[in-house]
Amino acid sequence: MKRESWPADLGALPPIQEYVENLVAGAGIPLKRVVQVAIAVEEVVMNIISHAYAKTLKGEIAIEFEEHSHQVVIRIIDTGIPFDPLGAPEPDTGLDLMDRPIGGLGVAMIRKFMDGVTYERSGNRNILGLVIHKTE
Amino acid sequence: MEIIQNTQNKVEVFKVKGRLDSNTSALLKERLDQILENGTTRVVMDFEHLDYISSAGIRVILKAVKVLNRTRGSLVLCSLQDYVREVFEIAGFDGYLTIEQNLEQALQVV
Repeated sequence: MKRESWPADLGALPPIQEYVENLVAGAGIPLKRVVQVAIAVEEVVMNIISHAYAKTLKGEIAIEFEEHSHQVVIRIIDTGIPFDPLGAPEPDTGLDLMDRPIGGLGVAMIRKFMDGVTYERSGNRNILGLVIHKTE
Repeated sequence: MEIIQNTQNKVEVFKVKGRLDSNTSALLKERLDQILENGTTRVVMDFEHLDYISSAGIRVILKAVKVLNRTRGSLVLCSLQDYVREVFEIAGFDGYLTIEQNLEQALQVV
């Protein structure tokens, strides 16, 4: 398993994405899916910054990466307040565009792009897991 | 991200290159707010060289569309790469936004 961590702020987003993209591409995941992973990671990181570490709190975001024979697993870990982004209601995409709240959009994108998404609260840690299959 | 802006027959054309994410979307929002405040009603977003868009980028586009709906203007997207188009489809916005194959067509319909 590979692991690295960054301070939880907006400036950490580019290096976190670069780290994840390199590992995922290195595992043989096609470019189109690498972009989807980067999008999912951005949505998770932004959720952590704006919810788990609500303004006054400072903390870190750790990325763990595991490559298995048929899939890769990315875990995004923070030590903020318990926050399960998957618990947010899915956006009603049947609503008119102008009437629709767009807050749940990021989570909808995570769910659509990933082959599996898990959330776990372990001790003082939020652990968000992303699973990507190596074959379509 | 790089934004190249020009005006063609009263249409404001934005060529957006690179990544439109939580860091860079503020710059596009600033540029869009500026032209909308100045009374521009027709906008084309040329995404030929856009490699990446997250929900932060989509929000900026949607906010501009909302303003333009009020002012009876329009915003058209064009030349989307496959996976960028897919982000709009998955978000459920492709049916509401006008997406054209190329800049020429976008300039005709906007």
